[in-house]
Amino acid sequence: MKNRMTGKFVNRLLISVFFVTMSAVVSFSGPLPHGLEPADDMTYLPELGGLRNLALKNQFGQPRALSEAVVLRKSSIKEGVATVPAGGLFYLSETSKDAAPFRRDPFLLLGEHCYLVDLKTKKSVYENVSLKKGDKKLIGDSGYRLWFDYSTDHFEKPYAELALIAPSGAWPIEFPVSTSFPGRDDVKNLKTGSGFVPQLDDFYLDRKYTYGATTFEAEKIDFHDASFKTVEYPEVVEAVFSMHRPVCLDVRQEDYRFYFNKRVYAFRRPEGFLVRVTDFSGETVLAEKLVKPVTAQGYKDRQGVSDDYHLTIPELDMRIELTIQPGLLKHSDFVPWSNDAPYGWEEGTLNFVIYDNLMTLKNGDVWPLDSRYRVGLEANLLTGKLKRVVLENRESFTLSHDHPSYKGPVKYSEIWNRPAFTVVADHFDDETVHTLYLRDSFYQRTDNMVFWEKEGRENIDFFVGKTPALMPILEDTFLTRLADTSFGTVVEPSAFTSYPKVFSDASFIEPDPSAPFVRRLKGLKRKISKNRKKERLLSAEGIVIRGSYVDYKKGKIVIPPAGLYYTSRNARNIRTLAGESFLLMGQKAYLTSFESGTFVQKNFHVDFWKKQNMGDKNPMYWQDVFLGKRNKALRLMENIYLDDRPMADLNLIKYSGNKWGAHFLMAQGFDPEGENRYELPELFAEGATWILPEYIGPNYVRVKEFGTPEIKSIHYTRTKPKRVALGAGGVKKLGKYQLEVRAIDPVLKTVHVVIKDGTGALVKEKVLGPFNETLTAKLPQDMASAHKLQIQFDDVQAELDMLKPFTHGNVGLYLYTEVKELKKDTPYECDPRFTVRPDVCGHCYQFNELLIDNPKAIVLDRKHRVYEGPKNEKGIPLFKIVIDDFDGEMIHGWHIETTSKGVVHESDNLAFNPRNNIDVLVGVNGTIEGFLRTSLQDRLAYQERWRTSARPMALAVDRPGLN
Amino acid sequence: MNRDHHTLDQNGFDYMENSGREEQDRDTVGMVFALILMAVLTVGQYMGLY
Amino acid sequence: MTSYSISLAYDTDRRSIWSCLYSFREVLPGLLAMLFIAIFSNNMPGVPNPFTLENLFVYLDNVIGPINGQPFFQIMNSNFVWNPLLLGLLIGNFFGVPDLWKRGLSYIHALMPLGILMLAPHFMIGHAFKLGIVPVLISVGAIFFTATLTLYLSRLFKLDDRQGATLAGALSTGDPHVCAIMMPMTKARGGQVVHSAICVILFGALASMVFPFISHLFNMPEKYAGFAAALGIGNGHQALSAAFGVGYEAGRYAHYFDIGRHVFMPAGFLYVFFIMLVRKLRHPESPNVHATGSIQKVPLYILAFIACWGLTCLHVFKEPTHHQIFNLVIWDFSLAAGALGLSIPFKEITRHGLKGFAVTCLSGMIRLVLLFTVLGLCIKTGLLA
Repeated sequence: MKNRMTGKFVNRLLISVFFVTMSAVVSFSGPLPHGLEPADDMTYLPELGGLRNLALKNQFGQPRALSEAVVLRKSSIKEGVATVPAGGLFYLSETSKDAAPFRRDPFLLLGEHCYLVDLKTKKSVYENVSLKKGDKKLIGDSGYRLWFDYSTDHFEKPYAELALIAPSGAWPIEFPVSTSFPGRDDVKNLKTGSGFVPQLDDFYLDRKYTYGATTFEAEKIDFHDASFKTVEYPEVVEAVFSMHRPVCLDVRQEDYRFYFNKRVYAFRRPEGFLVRVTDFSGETVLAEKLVKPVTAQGYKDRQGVSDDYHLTIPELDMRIELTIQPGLLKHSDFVPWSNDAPYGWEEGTLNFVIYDNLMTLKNGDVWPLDSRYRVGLEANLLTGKLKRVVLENRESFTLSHDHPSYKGPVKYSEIWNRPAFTVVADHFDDETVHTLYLRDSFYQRTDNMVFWEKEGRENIDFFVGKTPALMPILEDTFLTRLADTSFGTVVEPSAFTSYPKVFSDASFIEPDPSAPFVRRLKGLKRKISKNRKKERLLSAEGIVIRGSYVDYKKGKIVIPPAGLYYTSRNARNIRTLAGESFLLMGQKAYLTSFESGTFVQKNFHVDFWKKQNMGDKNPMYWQDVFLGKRNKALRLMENIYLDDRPMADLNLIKYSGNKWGAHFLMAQGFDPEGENRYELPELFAEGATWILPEYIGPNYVRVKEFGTPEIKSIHYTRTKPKRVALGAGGVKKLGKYQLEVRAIDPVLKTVHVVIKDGTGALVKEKVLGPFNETLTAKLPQDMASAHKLQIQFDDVQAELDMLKPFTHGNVGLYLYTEVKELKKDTPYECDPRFTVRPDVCGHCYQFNELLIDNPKAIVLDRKHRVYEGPKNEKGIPLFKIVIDDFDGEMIHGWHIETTSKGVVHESDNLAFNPRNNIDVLVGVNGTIEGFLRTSLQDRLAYQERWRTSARPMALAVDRPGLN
Repeated sequence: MNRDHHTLDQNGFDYMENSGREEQDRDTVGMVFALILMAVLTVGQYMGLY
Repeated sequence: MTSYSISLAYDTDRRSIWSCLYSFREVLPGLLAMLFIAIFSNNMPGVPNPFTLENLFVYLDNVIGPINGQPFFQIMNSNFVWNPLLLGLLIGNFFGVPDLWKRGLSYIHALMPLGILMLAPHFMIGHAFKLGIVPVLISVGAIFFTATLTLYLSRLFKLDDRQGATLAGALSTGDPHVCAIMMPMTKARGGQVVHSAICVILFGALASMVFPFISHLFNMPEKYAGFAAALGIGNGHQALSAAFGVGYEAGRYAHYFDIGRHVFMPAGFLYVFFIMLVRKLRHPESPNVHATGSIQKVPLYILAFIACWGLTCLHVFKEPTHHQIFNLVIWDFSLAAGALGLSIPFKEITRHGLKGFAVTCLSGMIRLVLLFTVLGLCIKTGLLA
């Protein structure tokens, strides 16, 4: 069984190579490159003046972060001509949550600030969808792809992680499904006590994954194939935007208001208002309709219901809504154009809201202002409302020395409709290009997107802009991108303030999002080994410093308790009975056994606090609920209303500061029979982690029962286990003891073994097995079952060879000697300054990660510049922290050094730009990958500043000016 | 002194002319302001005002 | 009435040092003129006006596209001093300067020492030592050598000593702003200051174009090519443009090594000032001696500057204070530069001819070649890794 984050990591390389090949085949065999990402070496630039990136509020004062990007994918260069397939160049506009009618939700269309006023959606249902592992399979002709990312196992039974990719390449969430385990509702039958209790017998994973408006129901999930009974997701068919701010007029009941050369009447009726539009004189009725005033209820934008709330007259380019309390001067970005309130209506509570300059976009149709482009409307898979607008080229085009530019779609403008951008590529060689840039509608351009101009690039793929869609699009390549050594170790300057953040304890917190990332440092290992099944396992070590700060009043650098840790993790969980190894202080160690159980907490509250109040991307801590001692913390990350029902997004935070991959999405009362347009589970269960909520409220969740694995200790040995085959009566030396096989029962599949000491006295006796189907059905994850095949005493252990247990009357046994224990929260044997913190997989109770951290604060200053990290068995520190230049406030120079084969290896200066902390990420494993993922967009954006030594804006001292 | 209309007003005041007692006073005033501003900002920061 | 008699009148009417501030009614129009020039030139701290010359230049930079990753107008040294100066020049020359403004504009003479003094927290010498001793010694050596060489060459070329000193200050410190800082010390004329700044900026722009060729000629490792750019060209973006012209590593290290030049800048301009003062005091009657004008002893504000510089090195000013004080520096120099721009007719700038430019180029190129030689020697001898 595999943890989600680490699982991805091990397959990353193979999968990406596979996809590059596969997608290349797909793109050139005809279909649009929908759902596929740009080339691995595509250039990412975060900024271009004409691409806007701003937060605006809708009429309820809810902020919406809007962003735009231009993306080019699947291009190729041959004989000095770059070819871009249809759908290869696209403009992307995205909102942070979604846009829906009746909320005056802002949106950006090619740089213009507009409002979504109407939306037509449908639910697409595809039946019998099957695909193979690694596939990104097109579903019907929708342009959406279902991606089978990877599969793994529990109790040797498969489960899979998949994602639904929109045509732009973005996807919101990866979901697990399985057809081999009990479903999530079965956790209701669990009868557990509170506190630390034994492992659960079962592993829970549902065959149906529901995500609001999206549902996946699996038919059969295998290791290499997956088939779905149904895949349902929302599609936006049509979206109407108003390119203007609306005109707001107070309603005069039974009378009219002038709207330019028209009169707009409102007659009160029991069901609403009869809204009538006439010409200037009132003689000719142009249109009339009974309209209900819009209020904030979420269901009103449902198809079939929404028509009651507006009068739209396409031929007059008018849409009239009646709004109660439109937010005039309150929580609104703008003051609507409203004249004085009529007599008796001083509060002005009922308004005509009249939109004009309506632009209707239909999914798949041409962009109304430029027939070369096609419109794509992408829904938020959770809410079913508008998430993204894509404008893509309908026909393939080429760029060459003779035709070096291609115009983007024509944009709407109050003054001059003109191309929103231009792609320019020039200076072609046979198969490379040397100049590539994007120019916006204000004639501003990017830097040359061929960074190494002499070498050139073999495609013209790029992504310009800062939209969240970047993150899933870069899923396969972000690590190689951040680890690119051609720019050295990127060090972002700190902002120096009088009140730097201070952490008294760094448990559960993430490192500074701008902490330098050192991809590789000799001495920290990264190795591939094989287990008994010959499966390749990647083990990697890393160092993390988090929560460190400078106490400038005392001139000291402080690493708080738990602020410095050594992390060792494999690309998946480390299993017993499989001869699997991990790295411990630079050397291989074999896992022999582990002790884990379930931590259960009942009847408690989890508060929802708006995120990031401290501005450090770590939420406040008093709302976290700690589950067990230094085990996990539960956070209520987000709160979304689906048709006015609160949906909770809870997340589990590991001691390392990493988020657990799975989101606990729950909402109550979405009865599948009740014609709800959303479906969500009322409880959460994945593997051995479950939540039974009592009540999901808008501000907190009351939890009836919560359970998650906790690990107490692991046993390991440095000595490679040896396989022996012994017949009944066979004896073998086992460390300072003797192992004797007393009897073998080939029918019951049991082995009677004893351990004797040097004097021949029996010290331990055990019957291993029975190695029957009942037992193997729980292996290798179930601890009690695993222990049935192991005999342990003092520092030795023998275990049954699961692959070839009984051959020719002999029994196959693996023998372990010099076994040691790493017990949670105890001092590390080789260096008591540090404490051992093994961590567990949230799914399966297996040993997931070893952390060794500092229980006491580490303080450095100008006199104490060197700190030695944890030491190995020989007393040699794995690494040293060396402060080279510190003025008491700013760190100007520091590095980490390791010794390998007698040679000292130093990292780059990690304060190349002055820093106010020594947070750092060294090495690459799942934990560090998780931290990089959360800070990805900012890191990539800063990398671009770093590339040109652009002045760091954080420092006033470095304003363009005095040099 | 040959001054043009850029700096010399009709009363014969040349704003770029800077000498004698007036120069010393201007230097002193500048210096006093600078020292006051720096002192206030420094002390303010030490006292945690910003 | 002459200015001489005005000066006499000042002495007569003077009551205290505050008399140089005149009455509020007299100075208000001039102050407002400076204020408006400032807030339409730069994005002043605390002023959210988007319609500034600075933003116009940023826009034009984006249209032109970066050169070696650097914005063109930044390479041409557009900043909080030259933007208001340019706007002042345009207004003064095309629309004239109303008499009503002139009392207020005279505040430039108080603003200059005010600004210079507040620059002190900018230069914490300790920050340079992250580079190591040898780079620091080379940085200091380059500054004093360039200052001496430029002064010598300007005498050889019979350049007005005020302009020579201004050029020496700016070139040695690698920062055209120093032309403005030198102004009250050398008593240079406004035209000379602007002319010197243009010389230094133009030289930097030209040198940054030939720099990659020289660097390749000397086969300089990229890291130290960056060092050479920081010292031999300076001017922030000019050095970066030159270094990135060599390669990415050179650009990165030009940014890194710049601190070596930066924190010793006061040493450069104070050195030039003291040389000129001593020279003037030795030859008070010489017809070629104009620099430092009527200054007979080291002005108090210079001593105060040195004291504040000392406090800076002792880390009395923390970073937040440093930033706040620097925001005031931006205000101060922006106001002063507006007044300076208003005072200068175009012909005042052009009449200084090309001699200054020749001195700058000669001195700058000698410095550059010597720097490469010294760096090459240091690398060969192992002094630089």
